[in-house]
Parts: sequence; C-alpha cells; structure tokens
Amino acid sequence: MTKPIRTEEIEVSMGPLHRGMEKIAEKRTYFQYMPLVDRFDYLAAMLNGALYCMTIEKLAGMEPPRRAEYIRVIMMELNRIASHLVFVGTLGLDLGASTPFIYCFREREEILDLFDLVCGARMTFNYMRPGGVAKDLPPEFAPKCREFLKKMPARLREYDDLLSNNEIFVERMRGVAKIGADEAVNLGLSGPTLRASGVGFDIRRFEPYSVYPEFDFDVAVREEGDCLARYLCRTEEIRQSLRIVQQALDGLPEGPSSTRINMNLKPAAGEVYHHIEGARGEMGCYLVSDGTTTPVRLKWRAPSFSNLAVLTSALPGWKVADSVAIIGSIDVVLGEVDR
Amino acid sequence: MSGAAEVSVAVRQALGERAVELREEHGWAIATVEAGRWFECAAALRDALGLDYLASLTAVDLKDNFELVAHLYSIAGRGKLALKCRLGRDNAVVESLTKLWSAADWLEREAAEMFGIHFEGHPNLAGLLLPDDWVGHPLRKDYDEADQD
Repeated sequence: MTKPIRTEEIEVSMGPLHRGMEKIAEKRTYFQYMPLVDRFDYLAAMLNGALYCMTIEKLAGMEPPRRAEYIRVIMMELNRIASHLVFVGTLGLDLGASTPFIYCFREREEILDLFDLVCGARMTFNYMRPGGVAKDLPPEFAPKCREFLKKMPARLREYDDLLSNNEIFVERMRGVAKIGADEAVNLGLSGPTLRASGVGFDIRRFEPYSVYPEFDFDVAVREEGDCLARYLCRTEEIRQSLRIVQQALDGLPEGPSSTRINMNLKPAAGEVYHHIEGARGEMGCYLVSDGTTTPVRLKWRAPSFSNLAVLTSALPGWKVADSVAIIGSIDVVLGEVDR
Repeated sequence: MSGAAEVSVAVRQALGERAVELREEHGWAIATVEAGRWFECAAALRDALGLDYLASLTAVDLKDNFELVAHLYSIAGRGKLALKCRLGRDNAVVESLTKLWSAADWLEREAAEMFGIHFEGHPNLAGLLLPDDWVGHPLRKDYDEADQD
C-alpha cells in the first residue's frame, strides 16, 4: 500500500481582496462609509452594518429606539442563519456531497428574499443606520418571516439526514484537526471555531449588547475540538438563532425605527473598541475620532482573519485530502480577511 | 465582567509607576506605558489580570508619533484593557508580543506593513496583505498614493 501524502508545512498567502478599506474610512464621512462596511464579511453584511452603527452610537452617545434594536436583532440573527447555511452547504460540497448544498441554498434564498423585502438588496444591504435602521419593516415581513421560522425545523432535520447522520461525512471529520482550548484562546480564535474547542465565549453573553439580554438562547459549545464539533456548533447555532428571531418577532415593540440625526455627524473626540458576535466570531470595530466628520482611524477586527491563522498549526500532520475538511470547518470569508 | 474602574486599580497595582497614563473611556480602561517596557508591562498585566485573549493590535498615526494599541481581555470575564505605547515616527521599534499571545503574529505583521513599525523578536515579519512590490506604508497619514506609479 502506498503511504498517504501528508501536509508538512503550510504558509497562508492572502491579500488579493485587499481594498484598503481602513484607509478609505479616513477619507469619508461616517455616513459615506456606511455602504462599504457590507463588503467586509459579505456573507453576513447585516452584522457588519450593525457593528459599525453601534460603534458610532457609542462614540456619539446616542441610543436607537427599542423597535430599531429589535429589528436589528432579527436581521442579525437571520443573517447568521443565512451565513451558517452557506457553511453547511459548502462544507458538504467540499467533501463530495452536492445535494445538501442545493437544499441549504434553497433556504438561504428565502432569507435573502426577506432582506430584499426590507431593504431592496440581497447581499450588501446598507440597511443599518447610526440611530436605527434605514426603513421600518414592511407589513408583509412578519407573516413571511413566521412562515420561514415554521418551515425550518423540518428542513434542519433534512440536513441532519443528509449530512450529520451521513457516515462518510462524519468519518471524514471526526477526530480530524483537534484544536485544544488553550491554543484556541492564545491564537485569538472566536465564534463557533473557538466554542467547538470547549470555550463558551460568545459576546452576546460575555458583554451583552443591543437587546440580547431579553432573549432566551443557549450558547452552542462542544468539547471535542475537531472538524465535526465545528460543524455541529454551527448547526446548533442555526436552531438558537431561530429561537431568537421568534422571540424578537413576538416581542417587537411599536414606535419609531430610527432617530433623526445629522448626516454630517461629528462624534466627540475620543475612541472606542466595540465588538459583537459575528457569524464567524468576534467582530470588532476600533474607531478614533478627533471631533471632525471623518474618523482618524478605523480598524476592523475580522474574525476570519484571526481564525485563519490556526491553519499553520492545524494542517501539518494531516493528509492532504483532509485539508478540504479542515479549511472548510474554519469557515472563512476572504472579504474580511483582506479588507 | 469587571468594570473599567476595577481594572484600573488592578493595572495600577501591577504596573505601579510603569503606567505613565491611566484613564477610562466608554467602558474601557486605557493604560499607556513606555515603548521600551511594552513587552514587560504586557506580560505583567497578562499574569496579574488574567488577560488571556488578544482581540486586536493595531496602530494609529497621530502625526507627531504612532500610538500602538492592543485590546485585551480575560475570557473568564475578569476585565478588559486597552494597552498603549507611543512610538517615534523615525524609529518605530518595539518588542513583539508573539511570545505572550500567538494571536499577535499576523496582527503585528499587518501593523508592520501598514505603518512601517518594526517588531523585534517577531518570527517572520514578512508582508501580509499588500503586493510584494508595494511602496510605502498606506495607513501612515503622510502616505501618498502617487508614489505607486
């Protein structure tokens, strides 16, 4: 028998998607920059927009109305589900299962239709605003969203039948590329990639923001630290996000969905680092203001950037054929890696 | 999680006079130390406050000098801290934090590339995001796009 080819050493090469986005921020007003933040993690752009607006609100000392907070949570969690669906589908595809990919995209499509209804866009929404959201929900949104929530549990069982209970899929990931808890923390991993290593670090709990304390949900944590655990953490998170969206829809308060603010916003001189639980982990925004209409510095802490670094230690020793499962299980979006 | 005031007290205890400036802003304790004691202070704070997580490390060009800033917290919820030091524009050299947090590896490489800061003791300070033949450090305020052609 021939010996399998194993990875000995890896070097990560990045940059083709670098668009100088942090530099551009220094040359635009806070509002002008708004549409650009969607291009960081373009699979979960609602979360980017929400983080950017929350950071500005902290700097400027504003608070959005409660209805806006609820709408933001609905959008953020729907986008987390959409993003995890891409993960589940593409991971299956990477490992040779093409059917689940079509199923996952079918459901993701329904979420994109909901976003289309709300803001007219499917990927780069430009929907969040400092002080609230761009537009209130249209009347068709709630019934359509409830329909989607009702449908999902059965669909998730379909994915389980196709992937989670598929022996070939499971065996290619169980025990592969284990990452220990200490190593994961030291490397700055976050999101499901960290929680699959037994560290229950979720910023929605660690440092609650927006109206998250008002919702019941569990943080998905697994102890194994292997590729399978990273997959299972995300499928569980889809279920938890569905719970949050349901509660937010049920409790959606009446009232305005935004506050009127000056388009030439000048936050007081100062600085803040704000972070939220993105679809891939800790998404942070460090803003430094000198009291003018443009920031002195905007630094985007992208979870994919830090998570990607684990490959240098996770890949060596494993078969080359395993690398597709390992890279897939980290779930990176290169738009936010290169920025 | 512990508030900024408690963290400030703990920083004062751990660093003493080594903290040249200590303030609180938007829920963060912000400590500034001398550039020459950057690594030593970071190590002391990591152990004293249990700051096991380096979330972000970057620089800000303040025109007179650079400000290096690391955002740290304890996963167990013991607090969060922004640790800073000032670096001169012409000799921006500081000790690497990679021995304390491996997360610093790529973050320092990016800061080196974008600001021209040298991190001493870094295992491989090669460029990360820019093409190999790129001229200049784009996030410096005196960077001129015209230099590319």
